[in-house]
Amino acid sequence: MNVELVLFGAFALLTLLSAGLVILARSPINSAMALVSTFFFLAGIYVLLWAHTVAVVQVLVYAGAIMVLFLFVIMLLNLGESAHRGKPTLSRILGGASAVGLLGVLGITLSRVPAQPANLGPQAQATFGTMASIGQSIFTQWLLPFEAVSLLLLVAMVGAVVVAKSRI
Amino acid sequence: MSRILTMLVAMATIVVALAGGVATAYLVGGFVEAHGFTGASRLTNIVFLMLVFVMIIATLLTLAERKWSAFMQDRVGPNRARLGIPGLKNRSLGGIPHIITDVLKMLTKEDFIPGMANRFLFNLGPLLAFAPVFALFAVVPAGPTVTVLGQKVDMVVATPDFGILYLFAIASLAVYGTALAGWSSNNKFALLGGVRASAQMISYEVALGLSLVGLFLTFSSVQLPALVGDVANALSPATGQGQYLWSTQVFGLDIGIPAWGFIIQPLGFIGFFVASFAETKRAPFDVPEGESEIIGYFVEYSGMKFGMFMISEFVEVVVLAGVTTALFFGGHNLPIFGEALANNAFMQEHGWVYGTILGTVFWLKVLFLIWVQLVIRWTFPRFRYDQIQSLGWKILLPVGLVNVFVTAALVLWDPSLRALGVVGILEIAVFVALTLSKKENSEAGAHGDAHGHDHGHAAPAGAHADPHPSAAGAH
Amino acid sequence: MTLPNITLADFLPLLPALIMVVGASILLLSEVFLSSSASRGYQAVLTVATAVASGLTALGLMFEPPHAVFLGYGVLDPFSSFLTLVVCVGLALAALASVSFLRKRGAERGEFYALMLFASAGMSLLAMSAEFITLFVNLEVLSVATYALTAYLRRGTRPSEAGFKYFILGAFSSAVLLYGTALLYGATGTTKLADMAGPLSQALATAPALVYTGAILVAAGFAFKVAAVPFHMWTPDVYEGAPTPVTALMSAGVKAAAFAAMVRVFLTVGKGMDPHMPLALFSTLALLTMVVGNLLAIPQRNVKRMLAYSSIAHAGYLLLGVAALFVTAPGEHFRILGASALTGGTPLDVARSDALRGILYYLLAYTFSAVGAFALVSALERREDEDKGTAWDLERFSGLAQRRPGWAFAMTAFMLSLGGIPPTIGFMSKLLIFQSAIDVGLVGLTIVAVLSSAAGVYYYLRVVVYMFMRPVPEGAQTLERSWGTEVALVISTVAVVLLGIIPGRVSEWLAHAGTLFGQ
Repeated sequence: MNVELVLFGAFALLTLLSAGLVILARSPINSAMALVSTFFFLAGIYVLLWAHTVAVVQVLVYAGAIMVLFLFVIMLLNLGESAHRGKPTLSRILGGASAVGLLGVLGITLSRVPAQPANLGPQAQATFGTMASIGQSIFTQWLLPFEAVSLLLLVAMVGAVVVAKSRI
Repeated sequence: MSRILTMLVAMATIVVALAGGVATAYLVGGFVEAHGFTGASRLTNIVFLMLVFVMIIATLLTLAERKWSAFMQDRVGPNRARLGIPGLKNRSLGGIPHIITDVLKMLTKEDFIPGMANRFLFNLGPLLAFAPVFALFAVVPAGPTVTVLGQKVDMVVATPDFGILYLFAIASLAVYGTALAGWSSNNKFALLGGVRASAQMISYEVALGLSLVGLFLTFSSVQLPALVGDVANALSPATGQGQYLWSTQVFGLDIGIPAWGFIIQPLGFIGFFVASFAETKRAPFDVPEGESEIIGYFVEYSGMKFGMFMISEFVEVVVLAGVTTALFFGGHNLPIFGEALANNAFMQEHGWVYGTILGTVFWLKVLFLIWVQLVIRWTFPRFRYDQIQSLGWKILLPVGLVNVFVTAALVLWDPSLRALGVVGILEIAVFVALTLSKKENSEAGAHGDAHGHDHGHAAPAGAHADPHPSAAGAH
Repeated sequence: MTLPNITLADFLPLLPALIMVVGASILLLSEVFLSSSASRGYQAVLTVATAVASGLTALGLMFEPPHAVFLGYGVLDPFSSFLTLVVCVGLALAALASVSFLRKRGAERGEFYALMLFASAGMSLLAMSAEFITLFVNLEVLSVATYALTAYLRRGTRPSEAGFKYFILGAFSSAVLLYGTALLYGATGTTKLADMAGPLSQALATAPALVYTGAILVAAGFAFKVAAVPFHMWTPDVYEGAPTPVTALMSAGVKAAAFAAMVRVFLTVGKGMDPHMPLALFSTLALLTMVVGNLLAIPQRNVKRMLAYSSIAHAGYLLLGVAALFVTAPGEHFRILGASALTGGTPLDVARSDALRGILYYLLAYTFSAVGAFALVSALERREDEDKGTAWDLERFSGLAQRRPGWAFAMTAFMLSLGGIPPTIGFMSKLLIFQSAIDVGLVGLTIVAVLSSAAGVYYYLRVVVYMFMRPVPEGAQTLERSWGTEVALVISTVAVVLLGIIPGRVSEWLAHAGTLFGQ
């Protein structure tokens, strides 16, 4: 029983709890806040997986920026608590069934995964997940898709402005 | 005259206190490293940096802010609270007893929760506002790494690989406290404040991150200790902001122009300072509070919960000053004589003395930047919400982008950073010139205006020394 | 630490796309300084100039030897360069047709042309992507740009409906494609197309379901983009609701780029697969698409909708060409044997190269004919009739031959070309595709193709009949002329007629373009 295992257990438990709250909470604001904490604890799990950069970007982008927008919209619209709850509609039954099915498939898959975790080796661990190594692979190996993503973001931005513009 | 004397005494006291604190921190760090386990000094750093330095400065700031605003408005400021100790009974002591009264008031006031408020989130709000701000200082190096009692001791709590991204990530969480406090209070004004806070955050966040990219490019690192750097010594060349752009030796002492952030990255500095000023939610970016219009997101809070909002604001001021010092004002490095000091035999022998001197330099710079923030806070009127958005998106963002491109090109062209330094100094000259030309215009206008209101100065300003003696009243 | 070597030469194949992106950025930035009433005539001119520059660059690149760039994440080969050329042709013609279309609606903005350029840049990049993530991102670049263009004129119900429908279904199909990609990645452990074939054949032995599901999902994602049956449902509504020049660009460019990506993916990855699987897949798709597309087009009285269904049908003929790529035993046809003896390639190579050429030529032919037809539709329609649904009715074409004989002649050329009647470019391209299908032995499928294209002639000629044999209706609106539309019509008419008779240089380029990198 080492520290990492304890931390993983704590983060995993808290992630599950907050994720559960996201769908169980009645008021949208509580849901959003639970989602924020889900992201936060997920970031903790990323750290344990040696993915420091991913972890910090997760907090920065998802918890810090995107969820603020969510919260902003929820507050601005002043969304109330969801009224119809518990009515088993067809889509709910189907959704639940597929969720349970997915859980089953994942469980079976996990039980087949070898118990011995993949060994990165000391050399890989020294640079694995660091800003420098991620930067290196983005700007060499993944240069083309990375630059294409920048184009995609620009197009999406222009497109959003064009569609939202009221003048035309 | 006596006022100036008092100030000098106060300043000397501050320097001595800072030096004492830093020396203690280094010695204790060395002691626990030597007698405890490796890395124990990081734990004592948590205590010294985050609890002692940041918290004490933030607490003192509650008074300093009111005193300085009084000074700028030609008032006396808080001076009524007295200590009941014989000998000090009739002295205002610069208003220091007000801090005690404030604390007592906050602790003893009724902790009121509005009827229809969401109790859980209402209680969570102040915590969410305070905790992230408090954790921010962890990555800021407050002194050099020196050898104390045979052990390497540094003055930083954590040096994660992602460095300053930690700061952005954690700082961006602070807005939840504000927004939730506003929403859960079940008060229209508070909700407005909360919504304004999140809207404001959307306006400055991008510019904030972008303003530092130039600095990262210049020093090829995102870690604050690497950005601060060290001066050249016998073993290694200078790194980070410890470098000189141009230097020469005078009587064996080195003088020159150091490669400090604000010299080589003036645009980045201005962008960062403005954007992070907006992060502190203080005037001129106090739209979420707007005490004269909506009172703010904390209108329903009282007692210690309000106190947490207030202290987190002041902690943010300290952290901002610390981060700006580390990023743009050379951190703990001296502007000149740094190499002479570092290579001095006595200093190399007694690492903690060296650390103490440079640590004190760091905290003095921090105090200077805090003072700058106070001046700004009491000089500018509040921006409108849309003005903040245009500032963030239409001015800071393009300026930041241009800065990134120019910096990248210059660093590529001249890795010694001198080209960057020349461009930076030119930029500063342009700013100064612009400011001066503006000042002449506005002075001419103010001059004509002043005649009409001249008699206003005759009023006994000291008489209304802050009608609300507590900081709570200021909001 | 050794860093992979990326040089300036790697950026060469990006040049056409970069030119378009620069053009788009100039348009976007210049728009900032214009007042809302300022003259914006330069925008279309700039777009066309950019398209021409980009097309010429692509033409120059076509004669570079095929090679991988960016460590195998992209490729430069004549196939992708020719495709970029096709895209540039479509873009230039669509931009010309936009001038009067936008002016009539008071909607001339730099963003419109910029988005067109962005979409075309995405198409060009998609054609050169040789790795799944790159491919997906570029597909999204062109999709997002076309979503926004579809919803560009938000007034009225049709554009909103079209934009929304296209966006939702497009996002869904992208997700399907991505899911298929993920499965293939899971099976092979790489996303590079070139590296996939080897591990794929191993994975096929251990987990065939994974590979087949992945391949089918990827094919379904592409089938949506090219509007193949049964993934065609969105096409008529979106084509009808989108601004007509955008419809032109979509029918020509999006289809061309998606076909290019599909061909590249399945030819490269398919090496590790049992070739019967893609053959069966594309044959089925081709069969369904040809028959259903043509049958559904017959009852349409709305010309824009008819052209939408016709676009589905044409996707079917193209899919026939794609299916021909996957026949492993091309048969002992004398033409192929002769060609293989002449060039030294195996009969399989010759047959593949023929089919590739057929597909490319068909895309070029379809671009000229369809964009020309849409340009004419946009010249005839009026904003006021859109909500009534009569803007594109066949009646509008009544007596066009008496009122604007030039337009009627152009439309006749386009209809004949789309129908595959000599002496047009449409006939030549159909001939090439059908020939290559027959050569490899897909005789049955080709017979269906010929029969269904004969059925198609009915609805194409109906437009011609209306133009020449119906009287001018009472109180018909005056037909305004605009330089942009006229130029577009002249260019496409000349191309449709002339390239059908004397292909000239184009056939030289085409002979060159039948090479796909790694084949």
